[in-house]
Amino acid sequence: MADPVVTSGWFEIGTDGDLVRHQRTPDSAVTRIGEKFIFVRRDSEDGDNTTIFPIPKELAPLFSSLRSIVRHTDRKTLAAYPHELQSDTTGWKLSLNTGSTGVPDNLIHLRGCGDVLQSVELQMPNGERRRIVFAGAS
Amino acid sequence: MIRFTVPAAILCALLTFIFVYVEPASDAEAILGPAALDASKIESANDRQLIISLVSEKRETRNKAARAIAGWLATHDLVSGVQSGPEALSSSFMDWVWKRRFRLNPPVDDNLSVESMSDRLAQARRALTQGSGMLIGDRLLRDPTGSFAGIVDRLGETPSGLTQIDGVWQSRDDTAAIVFVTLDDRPFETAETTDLAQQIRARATEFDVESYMLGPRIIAAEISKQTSQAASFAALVATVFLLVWLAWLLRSGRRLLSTFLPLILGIATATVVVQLGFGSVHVVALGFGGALVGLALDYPLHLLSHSAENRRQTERLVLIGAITTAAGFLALFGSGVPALMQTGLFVSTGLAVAAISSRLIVPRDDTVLRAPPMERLAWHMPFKGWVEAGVLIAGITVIASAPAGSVKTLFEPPGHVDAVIARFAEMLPLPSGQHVITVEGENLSALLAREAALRPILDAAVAEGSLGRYSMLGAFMSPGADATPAQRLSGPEFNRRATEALRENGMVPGFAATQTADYLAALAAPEIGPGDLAAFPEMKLIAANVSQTETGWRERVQLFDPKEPRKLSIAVASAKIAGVDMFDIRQKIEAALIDLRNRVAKWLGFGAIAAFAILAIGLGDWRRAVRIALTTAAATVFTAATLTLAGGTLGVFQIVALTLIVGIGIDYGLFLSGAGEQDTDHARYRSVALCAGSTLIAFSIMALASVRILQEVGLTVSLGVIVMICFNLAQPIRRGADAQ
Repeated sequence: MADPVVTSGWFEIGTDGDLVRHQRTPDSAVTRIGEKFIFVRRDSEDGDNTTIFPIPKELAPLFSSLRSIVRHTDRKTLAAYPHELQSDTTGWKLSLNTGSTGVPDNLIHLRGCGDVLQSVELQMPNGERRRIVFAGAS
Repeated sequence: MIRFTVPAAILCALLTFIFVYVEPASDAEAILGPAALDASKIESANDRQLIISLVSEKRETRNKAARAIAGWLATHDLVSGVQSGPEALSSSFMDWVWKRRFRLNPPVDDNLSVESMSDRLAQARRALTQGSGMLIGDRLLRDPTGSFAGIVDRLGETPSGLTQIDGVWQSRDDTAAIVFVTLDDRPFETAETTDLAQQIRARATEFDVESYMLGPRIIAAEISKQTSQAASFAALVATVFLLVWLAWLLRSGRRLLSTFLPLILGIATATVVVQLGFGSVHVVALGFGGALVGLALDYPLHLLSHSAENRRQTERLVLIGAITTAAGFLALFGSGVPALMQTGLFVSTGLAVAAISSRLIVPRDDTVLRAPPMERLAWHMPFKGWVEAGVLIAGITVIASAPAGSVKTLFEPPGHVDAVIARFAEMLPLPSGQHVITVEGENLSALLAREAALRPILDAAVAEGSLGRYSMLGAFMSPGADATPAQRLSGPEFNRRATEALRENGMVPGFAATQTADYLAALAAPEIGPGDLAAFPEMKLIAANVSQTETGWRERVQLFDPKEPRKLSIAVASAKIAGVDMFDIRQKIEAALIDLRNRVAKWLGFGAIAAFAILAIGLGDWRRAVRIALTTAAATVFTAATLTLAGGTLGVFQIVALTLIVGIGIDYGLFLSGAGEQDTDHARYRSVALCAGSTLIAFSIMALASVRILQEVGLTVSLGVIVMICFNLAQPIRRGADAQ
């Protein structure tokens, strides 16, 4: 629909196990993704400006999956959901159903090629799709 | 034996009825009566709120305690909602907000310009790069009017402007974690509320944090508990002292039993009658029921003190005294205040039953009882009638000239409550407990329309710093698209402007079709109705101060830190918005109490006139009735004036206690003024000395209680009895002249 909004930065695991996203552009911000809250700290003229966002339960599996992927060690979280793996010449797609029993309420699609994660997409029951495409991936 | 067994059987039946059916009530409206209408208007919905602060220097410790206590409270029967920090809004609520965004926050003309929509799209694109963008999704892009974004901003505002650390609300002095609790919507029960508070304290102690609680029900429970404990302790001590005193005087278990049985029968019968008449028994009626000790115990003592030969005459005087006093108390019916009407019925019934049952239960007995030789204290007062009339006039002058504004509250919270409120005020901004605005509307739309009219006044006050902030449903929700001045753009026109805004942002113009479809759908969304307020927990919190009344809807607007309430009050009044009023709660309550006091005093005055008429008819001697009435009135007014000089204007309960003094005065007057018609001076004085001693023991112990209401009633009656004795001992002729 338009030129995508491109951000740059990196993910890491914080000392307390939270997933931390450091963004350099377009704005400098640090996002800490915990179990229940997202903490966003932005540089501002008034000093540190931290905002807290409670994570809705519908989105919790997405962030949980993202944390598991970055950690490499926490694969039990992913294995707990019903899943389906598809692959072709362009790469692979792992679909996790994080909804209630048997009903495809919330689907999380992880796409990649080889050992590179290219995108994470959340498909909501109301038809909304939210997708993060990682830099360098197509 | 039958003298005791029959009354005992009746008493057992009455007690069974009481334990099975009697419901004690403690509602404030029953005390303030019709004058409480305005008070209830401002004391409405939020009485179920409770704030807990968990104090510890260590943030981690207090946050851990807050999470654990909030988790435990969430499953508690008495709790309907609990928040220890910001909570995620449910997707179903956000879907509802999205669909009704134009009802909640309709766009105005400026929001529909190409320039504004273009700016909004740019902001929405940037929001997607932020951590929060993932939570909101694409709706900011699909609504270029900014309506949805505005609602999201409002929802993001924290309660009381608090900060949070690790997802737990923190006090502004960084010493405590804060937990907000909404108690379940059920009738207030002192015991279960006290129990809940104790459980919370115990949990906090387990986590090594100090806990403070603030909420109307917690304070009410503490007042009830403190009053109840003090009253129980005073009653226990008084009973022990009375038993010892009367056992020493009466020297017989039989006589002791015949003294107490009429009193207990009177209280039990009165409780049953009030329950049958009113459907419940108010604690105020029960409290004054205890005051029956001051009179009902006198009747058997009079009968025991006088000789069997004069029994008939003594019974007659007892009956006249009881009926006279009962008439005085029955006048409380005219006050129109349910709790005082109950008190009137309670005391009247109790006195009548005690007087009649004394006649049946107390044995004819010529044993001479021990008693202080009070007749030796009789003294000569020249021109007694004129002196008493002078005291009466001087006393009334003192009472009438007392400052009108110094009104006492009915009940006083425990001393530490003020300290807790002050501590909370340091921790978080509390809504003003004195100044509130109420908005009423015949339906929800009317309520919101009036709040929309009020909003600019409040916003202006906030902007100029005379008001910290405010909280009302109308700040989150608008009265509806129809009531706003925004023009309704046609679909094609909106599409044109959206297309242009998209182009300015380098976005695909075809996306305007999606935006237009969403715009038209939002315009067609149904009006928000009462059902919507109860559909989501989030809305229940936002609409916490909204209540449905018999005539429509009402919201109590909470004002935080009103620095210039008078100025704001004038601004609100000048706007002349129908259904919108600003109150000074303290003034309203004072006015209600003054009105209550005046009505009670007026009706007790009528009661006194009726009592005098009954006294005159009963005695068949109006001169003697005038003498008794004048002495009683002078002593009562002297007591009232002394109390006024010492402690300011009399409270309602003190005025009712003075009615008891009137009853006691008539009782003493009947016996002390009856020289020549009955027993010797010694018997008459002995009889009154026994009664006065018993009353003084009971009420002086009450005066030493730790609760103000008990102190006041105890002091009033004790002082009144002493003054009454002094006036009654004053003889117009020299002592001994009428001795036989």
